[in-house]
Parts: sequence; C-alpha cells; structure tokens
Amino acid sequence: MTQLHTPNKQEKSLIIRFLPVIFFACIVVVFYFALFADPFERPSELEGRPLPEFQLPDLYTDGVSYSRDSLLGEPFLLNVWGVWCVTCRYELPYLTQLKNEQGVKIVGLYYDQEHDPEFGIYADVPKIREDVVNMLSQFGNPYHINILDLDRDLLLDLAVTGAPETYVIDADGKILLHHLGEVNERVWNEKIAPIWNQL
Amino acid sequence: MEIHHYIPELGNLALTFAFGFALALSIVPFWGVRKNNHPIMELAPNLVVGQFIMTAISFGCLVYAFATDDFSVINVAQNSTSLLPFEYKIAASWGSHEGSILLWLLMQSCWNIGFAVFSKQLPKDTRTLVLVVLGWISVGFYAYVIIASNPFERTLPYFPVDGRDLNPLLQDPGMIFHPPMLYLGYVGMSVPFSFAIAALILGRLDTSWAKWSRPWTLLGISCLTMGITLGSWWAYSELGWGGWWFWDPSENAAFMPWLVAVALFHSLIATEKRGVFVSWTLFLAIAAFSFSLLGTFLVRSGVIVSVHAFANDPERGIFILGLLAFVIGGSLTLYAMRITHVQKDRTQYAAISRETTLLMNNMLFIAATIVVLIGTLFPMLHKQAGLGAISVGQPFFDQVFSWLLIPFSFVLGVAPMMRWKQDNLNRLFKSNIYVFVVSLILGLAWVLGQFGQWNFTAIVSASLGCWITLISLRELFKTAQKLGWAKIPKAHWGMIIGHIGFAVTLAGGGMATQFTDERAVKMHIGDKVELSGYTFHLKDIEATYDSNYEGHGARIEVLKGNQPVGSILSEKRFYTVQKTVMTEAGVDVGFTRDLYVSLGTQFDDGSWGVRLYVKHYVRWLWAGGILIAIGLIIAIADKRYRRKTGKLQERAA
Amino acid sequence: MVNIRTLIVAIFVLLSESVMATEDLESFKTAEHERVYRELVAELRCPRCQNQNIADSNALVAKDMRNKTRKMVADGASKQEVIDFMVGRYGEFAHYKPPVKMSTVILWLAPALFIIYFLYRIRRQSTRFTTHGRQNKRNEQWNEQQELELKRRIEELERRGDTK
Repeated sequence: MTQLHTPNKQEKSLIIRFLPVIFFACIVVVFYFALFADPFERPSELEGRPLPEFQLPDLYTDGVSYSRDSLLGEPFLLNVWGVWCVTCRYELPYLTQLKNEQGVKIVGLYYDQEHDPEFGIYADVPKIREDVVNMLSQFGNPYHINILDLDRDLLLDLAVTGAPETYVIDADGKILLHHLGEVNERVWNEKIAPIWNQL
Repeated sequence: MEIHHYIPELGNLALTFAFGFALALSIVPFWGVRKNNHPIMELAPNLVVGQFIMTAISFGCLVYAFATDDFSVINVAQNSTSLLPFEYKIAASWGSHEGSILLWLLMQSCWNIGFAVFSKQLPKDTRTLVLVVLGWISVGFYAYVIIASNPFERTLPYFPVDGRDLNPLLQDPGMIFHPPMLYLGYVGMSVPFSFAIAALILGRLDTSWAKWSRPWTLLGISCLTMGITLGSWWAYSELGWGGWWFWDPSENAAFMPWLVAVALFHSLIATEKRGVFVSWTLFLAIAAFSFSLLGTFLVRSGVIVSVHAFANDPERGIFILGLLAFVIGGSLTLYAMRITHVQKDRTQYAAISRETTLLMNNMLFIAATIVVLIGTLFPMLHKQAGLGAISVGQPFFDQVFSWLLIPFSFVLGVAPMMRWKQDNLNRLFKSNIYVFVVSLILGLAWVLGQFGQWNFTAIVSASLGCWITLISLRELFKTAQKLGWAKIPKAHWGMIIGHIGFAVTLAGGGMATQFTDERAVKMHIGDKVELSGYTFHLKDIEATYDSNYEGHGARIEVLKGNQPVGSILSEKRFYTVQKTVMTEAGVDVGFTRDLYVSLGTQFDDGSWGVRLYVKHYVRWLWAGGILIAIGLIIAIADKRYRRKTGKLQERAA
Repeated sequence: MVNIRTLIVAIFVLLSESVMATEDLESFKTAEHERVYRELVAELRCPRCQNQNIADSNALVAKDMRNKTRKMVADGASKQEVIDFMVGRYGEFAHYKPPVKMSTVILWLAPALFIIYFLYRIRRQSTRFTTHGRQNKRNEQWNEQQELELKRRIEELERRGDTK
C-alpha cells in the first residue's frame, strides 16, 4: 500500500511544484496575442437585430417625418454624423464618392450635442440647418435624406457612442453591421463591401 | 555648440556605463561565488556603486534637459513646455514612459546600493549572490531603456520651438511624490526576491534568509503603501469628483504586489521565529516581485484598457513580456526544481495557534490577490476566447472584497494575542467576547448616532475597525504591564500601529463609500445651497491663472448654522498649450468630513453648474495608509536588526 | 393692509430669492430613487471612454445614459431593469459586474476554490499535530509558563543567529 502510494505522491508534488510555471506560461501566451489585439474593439450588440422603431423629423423641412417603415424596401447605410464632428469631414467626400460611383443609398442621422431641455438648453434648429448646408456644400453631400434626432433617443437605441458611426441595414430593416469610426476606402473594402455586395 | 548642449549625450553615455556596470555585476561576482573566490566576490559592492553613480548622473541629465527646456530631446518636447511651472518641469522627467523607466532604474540602483552598504554582516556568498541577482534584474531594464525606450532621443536636426506640455492631469503635487514612492516600493520587492533566488541557488534553505530579508521587505512595503496612498489621494483631488479607488488596472497593478508583499512579511515572521512555511515564504518572495513586474507590463503594453496607460506600443510590449517571461518564468522554474531541498517541516502546530492565524492571513491575502488578478485579466481573456466584451469593475470587486474583509478583520483582531504552537479556543473566547460585544455596540452607536441610518456595510466596517483597535490597544497595555513601556520592542509597536492603521482605513472606507452626500445645482453669485447641514454660499467667481493655464475659480464660503466653517476655491482651468479643460476641485479638509466642490460649466443665464459633496470620513482612508507605512518603518528600527549594525561598528573599531 | 401684506410678501420673496433661485440639476422624488440612481451611474460603464463609469465621464453618451437612467428610475424602473436596458444596447461591456454564467463563474470560483484548498491543507497539518499522541499529551498542559519558555528560546536563537 505504502509502496504504491509513494511515487504517486511524488508525482503529485511534481505537478504542484510546476503548477505556477505552467500557469504563468499560459498567461504569457495570452499576453503575446493580446499585444496585437486592439483592446478597444468589441462586437456591437446591434448586429443581427432589427432597426429600432422611431418617428423623427426631417433635418431640413418642418412637418416631414420618417419612421422605421418609411426607410425600408432597399438596403442602405445609416450614417451618424454632425457638423461638430471632425472625422466626419474626412469621411463625407468618400461617402459622396460611394453614392455617386456605386449608387449606395445613405441615410444621415444627425447627431446634435447641444440640445438638453432638462438643463434649459434648446437646440437652434435654423442655425443647425445653416451649418449643415455649409458643411455639405464644402465636403460633399452623400445623403439621400437626413433625419434629426434632437432628443438622441434613437441614437441611444442604436448604441451610438459618438460620431461618425455607420450601420449597414438590409431591405427588411435588419442591422447587418455596426461600424464605429470613419468609413474610408480600407474600411469599405475590408469590412463593409463584402456584406453590401451580397445584398 | 556649448558644452551644455551635450548634456543629453552625457546622459546617454552614463546610462551605457551604468548598463556596463550592471552587466559586469551580473557575471563577474557570480563566477566568484562559483569558484569561492573572495577577492572577486568583493567586486560586487564596488560595481553597484558604479552603477548607482552612473544612473544618478544619467537621471540628473534628464532632469537638466527638462529644467532647461531642451526641446531637441523628443521626450522633453512631448512632455513639457517653457510655460510649465518649474516644479512640474522636474516632475515631467518621470511623466513619460521613457522617463519613468529611468526613474525605475534610479530606484533600483538606490536599493542595490542601499543593500550593498547595509549587508556587510551577511555571509559573503549570500551577500554577493543577492547583489548578482539584483544585477540580473537591472541588466534587463537597462537593456530595455537603451534599446526600446531611450529618454534622450533627439529630434535633431529639426526641433520644435516649444514643447507640447505635460498632461494637465499630471500637474498636481501628487505627481511629484507619488511615482518616486510607488516605484521605490515596486522595485523594493526585488530585494526579498533576490534573497529567495540566492537561497535557492546556494541551497541554503534554512530560516536565516527570512531573518535577513525581513527589514528589506518591511521597507519595501512601507514605500509601496505610501505610494498607493499618495496615488489614491491624488486621484481624489485631481479627477474632479472625489473618487479615491476605482479598481482601474493601473491601481490593481500596484495593489497586487502590495497584497502579496504583506502576506510575505507575515509569513516571514512565522518562518523566522518558528521555522515553518519555508517553501511557501520563498514562493511569496518570488511572487511579490513578479507582481511588480506584471503590473508594469499591464500598464505599459496596452493589453488592457486603463485610464492611465502609457502610450501603447506592441514592440515595447514584447520586450517587457520577454523580460517578464525570463525573470518570472526563470525564477518559478528554479523554485520548482530546488524546493525539494527544503527540509521537511517537522515543527508542529495546532489548529488553534498563532501559526494557523498567520496562515489564514496568507490565505486571505492571496485569495484577494487572485480576485484582483482574475478581475483585471478576465475581460481580456473573455474577449480573446471569442466570448464577447465584458467589464469587471467596482461592483464586482466591492462585493468579493467585502466577503474577504469580514473574516480577515476578525482574524486580524485575535491574531496578535494568539500563542505560538497551540492556543485554547476557550481562553480566546473568554477574553475576547466582551471586546467583541463592545465593538459591535460602538460600531452601532457610531453609525446610528451620527447618521441615523441602518446601514449594514457601515456598521460592519465601523465595528470591525473598533474590534481591531480595541484588541490592539489592550495587547499594547498588556505588553507594557509585562515589560514596562520603555522595553516594548519596536516590532511590537510597529505591529500595533500598522494594525490600527488598517482599522482606520477599514472604518473610513466603509463610511466614505456609504455616506457621501451629493448635490448638483445651478448657482448664481450670491446663491446659497444647503447640503447635510452645511450652507454653501457662492461669493464670487474669480479669474485664476498661471503661466500655462487660465480659468475661473468659484469662491465658496461654507457655514454650519451661522458659524463659518471654511472657504473653498474650486477651479475650472483651460490649459492653453494642450487645449484641455480641467476641473480643479476645491476641498475643505476635515477630521470627520471633507467638503468637496467641483465647478462645472457656465450656463447662458450666467449661472454656474456646481457639484457639492459632503464626504464623511474620507480622510481616514489615507490616515490609515500613513499609519501602516509608519508602523512598518518603526518595525525596521527594532533592536533585533539594529544590534547587527552595532556589532559591525564594534568590529570596525 | 393689503399693501403692507404685499410688501411683506415682496420682502420675503426678495430675502429668500437667493435660496429659491438655485435649481437642482438632478432632482429626485424620493431618497430611494436617488440611491438607486447613484448606484447605477457608478456601475454602468461609459462605452466611449477608456475606463470610466457614466457618473465620472464628460462624454455626451455618458450624459445621455445618465439622463436615461434618471428618467427610467423616476418612472419606477428597478435597478435591474435599467441595467438590462443598457446592456441590451451597449452589451455586457456596459455593466461593471458581469452576469454569473458558465463563462464568467470562474471569477467567483477561483478564489473560493483556493480558500477551500488552503483550509484543507491547514486542517491536515493541524490534524497531524493532534493525532501525534506524545505531542498531544504535552500540549494539553501547554500553558503560560511554557509559552514564556518558548519565547525565551526563540529570543536566544535569535541572539545566537546574530553572533554567527
């Protein structure tokens, strides 16, 4: 009995002794791969879900409004932007190019930062329209229509964290992709086009 | 070109020489130990002196470059500006990744030379080998700083007229003291580590190394405690909302080595006095420094999202990862291979004994370390495994730590009065039940009396704080009765003060998390706002400025009833070079409460958004930390350690 | 009379104006609402920031999340409902405490297993002590006297260690 037990015990102690080394080696391997991963990149919850319901006004014209259903029927890109957004200035010319050369339908969702009724701050809509016209005439206008979400409710439902952000939405209103940051040639070719071209 | 234009080159040269000394230190005396050649072993302390002098010169050159606005050095151009106040120019020397690694090396050479000077009574081979291991660690960091993070790199031939300024978050008195102290603590763990490695190599696995390394461990933990305390206080005053601990990876990086180090020195007590847990203590000595290195890697490699990570660079990350793999992997392997040579623990102890309580201390400290380690790394592992992004933060850590803290504080109270080998549960129960009941009543009375609220967390932490304090004081008086006040050993004083320090932090932390009153208001000049019995009166908005910022300061008078309590200046600063807005909170410091005011934005009608806080007992957090650090320092002054130097002088004379 | 009363009211209004003019930027119907709100904004993570909760972040998305949280709490939503709402949009990333499930249970299990293993070791070690008959007999009479004797011996050992 004792003779059977002794080597067994030694083996066990060998494993226990080397356990920290093994554990540490695993951590090092994980760290090595983590070094080349972007810690900020994470999958969006929205992908695969339907576009949320909403009822929001047109950016330019009083009285005109849009809902989820009014947008459906053909695939489109939903682009979140604002005149305050610096990256958008780099993105607008490329989006305009997409619209002109490939006929991509792009819906703008205007992100206003000022409006805050609880704090007694109301957005100056005529001023926004003026700024928008100026900016789009300068950098290009890729938008089929532009929606204004002053209360930022749809923006919250869409899990927007800032601007620009772009969603690929199919004809049935399903969100296929949620891209954070600029859309440029690289992003289009690597990330968006493979999905878009299958629609 | 005048001579002072070459200062950065001189710094570089000194750095290279320091590397040379460290390289020599890690090879030559080691060979001397192997051959048992005393004259060669004698070289080690001299090489350490050379390393220290060269590192100090190099660091001095970096400080000089910052002080004289030498923007031809990339590091200076990116982290300073001619308009930066002078004290922050100096502090900016360690504000960047490169500079902070050089600071790390300066601290390392301070420990090396400190050890070389105060270790003459040790056996020659042990002493030399410890220095050699310290040399091995140094070599890795010198190579890193020279190859991958050189702070003296030039922008020449084209250099900017002015620099980009130091990150405004770092422009705080905390920046001057916190990093040097913290690094002193991090690096301090390399001394017990080297002792453990030397003991493993020499096969001298008795308890003597425990005795020799204990004062160094105490000093290292003391620095680490001060560093963490200063960091917490800095976050409180600089972030603008009065948070003092967020479980951010950068905080966890400092907390893990602290936890292991505290476990280590409690375990060292048992090893030194009773010859138990030898292999476990060796393991802890290796682990404490390993966690220091791990923390550095986490903060500098960018593998983890943290509020104050240094610039992320995979190449640098790989270098530190290599260093990590070599130092930690190597020492753990050495440990696994040599540990069988430890004599089997024959000393016996009962389930109720001082030994067991020290083991319980170790168990809870290491469990806490596991919680922090897993909590910090798990989001990364989870995502790498393709399971999606998750966050592990305050609510998780608060929950698990409260589970650990209750049994821990309970055991901490009883442990110092326990007997070695075997104690009697009956005796312990009889002599402590009254203290326990009194503590519960005190805690209840404290919380209910002051706040009138049934708050479980606050009551438990207050009661446990009282429990630890009462038992510690009783223990002190008992010892005084037995030995007389003058004869109480310094180590005993250290323990009492350290434990009371923990009790103060525990009670303060429990109260501060539970009782913070907060109100966000819109105020015009002249407005008065009430918050938990205090009236905040906005007297004026003043213009504030310094060489590199301009801003507004809200002058707020605080009254309690009609009695003026204090005057607070809370600022909103605009740093002109970096074009960033910073909130510089105003605080009226008090023994039982802080009044904390943070200034928001101005509204169209001229009023200001102001956030007011009354934070109860928040000072106690840091007071406790300082007490712990003081206790540790007092323990180092114990006769046991002093006697040796006394003998040394005799011998010299 | 009327005039005097108006005057008094006017004076009262003037005097108290400074107090009345201050407007709370976060108002709560009950203390319970405030407590739940404060807990939530401390536990929800700002999706745009490095590592900040929504209470401490100045990012617009954090502000919108705070406003939404306040509205939901005021409308009677429970803490868990608000968390579910945010997690439903921003993912589990948005809450600083992951849900307990197969892939996350190790967070709680690892320290617990360590403690169980350690306690088992302590128990085994001390059992060896009590089962050792001769030792056991002696230790039943372990008393103050012997404790002192042991302390004296330890001291002696230390002193000898010094002279070595």
